[in-house]
Order: sequence, then C-alpha cells, then structure tokens
Amino acid sequence: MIKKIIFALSSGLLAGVVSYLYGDMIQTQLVEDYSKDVPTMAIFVSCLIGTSLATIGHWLFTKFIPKFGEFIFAIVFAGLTTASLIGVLGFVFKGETTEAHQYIFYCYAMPMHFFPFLAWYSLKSLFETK
Amino acid sequence: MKSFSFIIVLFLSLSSFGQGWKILETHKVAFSNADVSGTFDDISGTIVFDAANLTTAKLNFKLKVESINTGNGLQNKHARGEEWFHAEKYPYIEFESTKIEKTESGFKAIGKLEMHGVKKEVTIPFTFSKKGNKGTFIAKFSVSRSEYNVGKKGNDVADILKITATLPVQKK
Repeated sequence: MIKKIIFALSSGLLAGVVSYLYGDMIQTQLVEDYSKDVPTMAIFVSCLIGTSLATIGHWLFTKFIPKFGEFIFAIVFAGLTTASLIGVLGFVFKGETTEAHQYIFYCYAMPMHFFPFLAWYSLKSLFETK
Repeated sequence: MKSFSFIIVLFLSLSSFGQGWKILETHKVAFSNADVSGTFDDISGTIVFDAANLTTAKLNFKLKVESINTGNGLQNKHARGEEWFHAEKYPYIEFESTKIEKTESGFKAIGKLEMHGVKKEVTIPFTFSKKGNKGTFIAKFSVSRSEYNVGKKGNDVADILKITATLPVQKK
C-alpha cells in the first residue's frame, strides 16, 4: 500500500516538474505569461490528483478484472487523458486578453495534460510487485 | 435669403461649438448571457450630444465584427464565421440614431441597428455623465440574436444577449 502511495506521489511530482519546465519554456519562447491563469500550485496539484486517481483506478481494474484489467485500464487512462483536452479547448480567459494569448494557450496546456500519463507509465516498472 | 443665412450661421455654430465627442480608447462594449460573453474591442462613431439640446443630438456607431473577443480563440473564430456574425460578409454592426429623447433615468436613443445584414429599429436607453471636457456614455440593453439571424435558432446559446456599452468620451 505504501509503495502505491509513493508511486502515485512520485509520478505526480515528476509530471508536475516536467509540466512546470515545459510551461516555463513555452512562456519564455513565445513571450506569454499564463501564471495568473494557471498558477504553478494548480499544475502540481492537478498532476498529483491525476496520478493518484490513476493508481487507484489501476488497483481496482487489476483487482476486479485480473485477466484484462491492465489492458482496459491503459485504454481508460489514455482515453480520459485525451478527453481532458476538451477542458483546454473550452478554457475562457476572463478580463482583457489578446487572441495570441488565447491561441498559444493551446500549445502551452495541451501537452501538459499528457504528462501525468507519461510519468505514471515511466515510473510504473519501478514500483511493480511481481 | 435671411432665413437661409440664419441656417448657415446656425449650422456653422453647431459644428464649431456643438457638442461633438470623441470616443476614448478605454471604451468597452460587452455582451453576455448564460452561455457566452465577450467584448467588441473596435468601435468607432460620431457623437454629437448636448443634454440641453437633444434636437441636434446624433449617435452613430460602428462595431467591427472582427474585433469580437470571447476570451477563447476557437470561439472567436466560430463567432466570426458564417453561422454567427459572418464577419467577411457583414464586417460591421452599425447603429444610427434618428431621435434622442430624455427619460426619467437618463436618455434613450431611437434608431436603426444593423447586424448580420438585418436592419431593425431599436431603442437604446443610456446615461451620460459629464465632467469638464470629458464624459461617459453608458448604455444597457438587450438584443435577440435570432431577430438578426445570428446563429441557429434553438442551439446551445440563449437567444437574448445583454449588451453593456461604456464609452468614455472627450470633447472634440
């Protein structure tokens, strides 16, 4: 159990760090600032929630569907990750913003939505119990 | 001949001393309902307004459809498209007053509003506050988008759009 918690937290933290670095790079390169729209804390918290839910989901799928649980979970996780992009597309900026700010947001936020998935699977083998 | 000269003098005095106002950059024309909200960032127009002499008052405005800003890039593109404002074919939303009247709470401008190729008579209530050589017009009214064939009827966006226009002005 402890192992799973450490797995969820470490993969969430990894996803958060990668998201932060990626976001920082995009903002520097494209001279836009999203720190007011998406605070750093929100990035880390979202990543931690994502990987924690994934860990719980994985445990449930493999427990109750031992034969295909692993496969179904992977499909569901990938599907939900992709579906979460709707949130980025529908994001509405409050107050005065330029169109460049609104469009660059897509290439800023969309890749970030995949980082919890990638981080979770990257670290999975380290925490797998045989 | 005398009356003609009088008209000329009157016209000249109105153009030189009439209350002509220039719209300042800090203007805001916002629209909203439960489903969408945004602004039109580009407005131009002619304002001739003297609260003490409404017979000469004139309010003409042009909103550039391309300047619509909903806060979402894809939504902006959609709003400029054929189904909604069709900015390419109808680049401006225009209002031209025919009469300005005093009301209990301020004033009302009666005139023609043209949007998406449809022209209709509307009454726009507004207030005007003056401070030195500056002033602010604030108008709050509603528009039924289906009356102007903007967007499909009965889709996800409510029919009535609330408009709030805040126009800071300076004497010309």
